[in-house]
Amino acid sequence: MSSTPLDAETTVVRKASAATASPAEAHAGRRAVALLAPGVLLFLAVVVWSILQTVWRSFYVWDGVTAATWAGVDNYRHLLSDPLVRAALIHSGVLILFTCVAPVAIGLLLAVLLSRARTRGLPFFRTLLFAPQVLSGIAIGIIWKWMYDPTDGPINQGLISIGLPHWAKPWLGDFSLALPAIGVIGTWATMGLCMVLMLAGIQKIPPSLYDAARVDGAGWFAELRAVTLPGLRNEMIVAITITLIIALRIFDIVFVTTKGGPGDETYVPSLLIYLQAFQYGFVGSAAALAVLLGAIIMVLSITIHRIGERSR
Amino acid sequence: MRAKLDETVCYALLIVFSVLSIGPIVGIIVQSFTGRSIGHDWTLSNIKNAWEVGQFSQTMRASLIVAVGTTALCLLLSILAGYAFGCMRFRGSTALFYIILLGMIVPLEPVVISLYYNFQALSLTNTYQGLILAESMIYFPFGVFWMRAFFRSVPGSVLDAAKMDGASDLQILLSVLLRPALPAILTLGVLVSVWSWNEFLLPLVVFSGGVVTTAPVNVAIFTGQRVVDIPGQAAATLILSIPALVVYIVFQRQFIRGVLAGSMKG
Repeated sequence: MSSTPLDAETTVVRKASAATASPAEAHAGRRAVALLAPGVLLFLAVVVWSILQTVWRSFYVWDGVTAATWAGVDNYRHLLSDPLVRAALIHSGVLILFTCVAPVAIGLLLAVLLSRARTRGLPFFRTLLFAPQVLSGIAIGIIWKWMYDPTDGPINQGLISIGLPHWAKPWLGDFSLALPAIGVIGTWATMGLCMVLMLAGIQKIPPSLYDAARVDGAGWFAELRAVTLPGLRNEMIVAITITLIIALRIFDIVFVTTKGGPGDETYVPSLLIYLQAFQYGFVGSAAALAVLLGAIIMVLSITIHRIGERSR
Repeated sequence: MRAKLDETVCYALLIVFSVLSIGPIVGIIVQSFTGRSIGHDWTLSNIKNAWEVGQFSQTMRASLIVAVGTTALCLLLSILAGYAFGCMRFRGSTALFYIILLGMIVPLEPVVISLYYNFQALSLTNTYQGLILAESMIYFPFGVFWMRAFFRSVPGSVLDAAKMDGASDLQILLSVLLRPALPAILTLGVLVSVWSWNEFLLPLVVFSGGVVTTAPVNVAIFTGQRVVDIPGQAAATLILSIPALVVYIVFQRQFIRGVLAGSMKG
């Protein structure tokens, strides 16, 4: 959040008017409270209070029904030694490549090409590229379950029809392919967002900057470094942050396609949290993992933001 | 010559990615109207069967109640709070606003675990009120952020003129600010209703073990438990997605602008 000169100006104007209309303005705090109270109190009760309680619960062993017993940091210690948790975190790392790195790279590639060519019909393409953003994770999961279907799915049917029958695989049921297959779903789900973000960003870069770079004889790489990347700084930060959070939180898609299988090849943190808290009755360890996941997401979001601010 | 080549590559790439983006969606639509392979006669029987098997008349109704309730509550509270943050200066406003903004990056998982047990204690599990309250509050930070940005853009002179006439805060909001705020409110409403329609984890947890549930949760459960044929799954997905797709087709400018602007400033 950056405040523009305009904000500062209106602030000054309002402060000045506050000095003249003093009786009314003196009660600004009380008046604001009346407007804020309903939403903010409910927000504190529903969201903030729940988070604090979850942090508290992460120090207990609790099955959700009987009395909880104090466990200190045991839940956190067990997290680090639990092979399933470690597997889930490693899977998250792999999914980041597919759901964050790949879509951002695709978006950037498109931006570079668009910066070098005059293109019409962008609103039309934008509508098509952005369409998957409106679908639920459940719909996306079922669509791709069909795409990957071993016998009736278009991927395998396509491979067979072009004469590559031994390339046809039971994608979601294969121990080594299931995780990348989920990753590809993630790429599909986020690439449109990244491309449309970059499209919007590239149109804000003044063409004169490119003309200047070309007059200086800059090649495409120099142009990318000197004009495109700095011009897309904000879009890059946003695209990386959003897709990173999506990758780390992926739940619906896994729930509806593999449920963590085959074996535990596609377990992800959110699925473990859900299963432990609501199916297996390990509320304490689920809380610890949820706190860990929340901390990872917050730290990464703030770090990316900081890096972005520094390169300004 | 170079420019021509760049242009061609550019269009080729846009077309390839557009086809990749909507191909699977078009494919699932075709599947739900035909049978196992393209070339079968088009029929509505898959949709009719899926509607029955998926109990869509109950679950769509539940989803609709939740989406409408969530949108109404979230918009009301966001407009009031956004108005206070945007138009009034009071002590602690920045700190409070940042606490709420943190709600935009905190993931749902730590919230949902304790929320479930609190709702259980308050008998709010398996109730529309509970789910509507939970969803409204999850989207509230974005709503406040969005409405605050709009109210900040209102020139101070407009507010001062209204105050000079002795209008109260609510009068100013209703008679002066509401009309220019309508586009911002519409965009927020489109986003919140689509998010609510597609929400999965919250209804899964809040409505666990109940009689009613929302459409996405029921589809996820029944396609996972039983062996459902592909046209049946495709039809269920289509039914589930139609409301969101219609909203996208009608309000695509608001939806795209909202998602982009919302993410850009977050």
